[in-house]
Amino acid sequence: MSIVLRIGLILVSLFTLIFITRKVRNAQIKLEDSIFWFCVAGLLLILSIFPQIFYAISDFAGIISPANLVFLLFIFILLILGFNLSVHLSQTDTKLKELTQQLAIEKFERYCNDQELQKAQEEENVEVVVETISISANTDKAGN
Amino acid sequence: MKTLLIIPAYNEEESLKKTVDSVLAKAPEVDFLIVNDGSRDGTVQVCRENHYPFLDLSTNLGLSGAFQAGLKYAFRHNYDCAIQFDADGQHSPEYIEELAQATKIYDIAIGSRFVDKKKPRSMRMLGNNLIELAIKITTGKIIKDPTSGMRAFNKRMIAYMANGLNFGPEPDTVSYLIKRANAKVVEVPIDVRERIAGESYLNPWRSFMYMLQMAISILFVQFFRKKIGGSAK
Repeated sequence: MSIVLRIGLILVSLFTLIFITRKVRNAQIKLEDSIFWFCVAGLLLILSIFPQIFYAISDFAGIISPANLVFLLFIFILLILGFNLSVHLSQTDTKLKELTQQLAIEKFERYCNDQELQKAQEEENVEVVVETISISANTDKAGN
Repeated sequence: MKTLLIIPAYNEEESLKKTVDSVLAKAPEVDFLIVNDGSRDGTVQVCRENHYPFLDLSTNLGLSGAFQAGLKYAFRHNYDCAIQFDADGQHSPEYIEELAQATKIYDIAIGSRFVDKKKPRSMRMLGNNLIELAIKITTGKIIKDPTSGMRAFNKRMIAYMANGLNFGPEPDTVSYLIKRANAKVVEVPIDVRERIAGESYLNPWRSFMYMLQMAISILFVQFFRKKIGGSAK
């Protein structure tokens, strides 16, 4: 591996780490979700400083080119990540659905309650009117 | 017996009034509830002007989400039976009473177009046959018209479907309920009319994808779902 490539790799993984740290600092990603990316960035950094790890493992596992091991590892990590994201999205979707349904039902129930209240109030008003009419009729009689 | 007719409506301003009026004329003793699935046309206005009871979903959830909202309402207000009914005028309200009565004995009553009639030969019926076969293989029950959109559910089914995940009003749910919740299913013969207005959701490609999804779901995915248990009355 040429020295330029190694320096390049180390720089890129350093930048990745800095980028992720900044996102967390600026509160653009939740801490729980960032832990995964911190691990990935840390792994990237370690591997770019000590690429011998890959050589040793691929030697041990009988993989001819260490590059294949790099691809295998990261494709697997991304696959797991993709599935986790799908699960997350599904859960968020469900929550959104529940919220929408709940909101619609509450809205309708409130509307029904309002209608009933209004009806009751109107009936009360009618009774009051009837009472006042009968009272005024009585006073009229008394006056006469 | 309290029966709730759930009418999911997505952009159905043209046919909704006709449909509801025919329900009011033919089945006045049944409560109905329109579920506006985030329509972008005047569906809400139609409901407001005519004082129809309706749930107003703020975003479009799709048929299963809209129907489930209706089921949740049925569950909260202790209905004995919930019936799925199309807003586009395909279903006749004459059969509501029959379906509701059937849920006294059975858990699910499906309004079936092909109880004693032959199925016409078409691509869609081929898909219908495939789903019928899939349900027969997995549950041993023969349901002639699994894709019918007019189904009635009793109280036990309402409780499951209102609160669970993955209980859309589709054939795979029916097969799941038969297999894992010992649901008893009956088919009630109905006639279906052509839709009054609006455009059908199903084009050939969507129909194909729907059939494929249902077949995979019934044959494979439902096996991994948990058993609910319970038994019919």
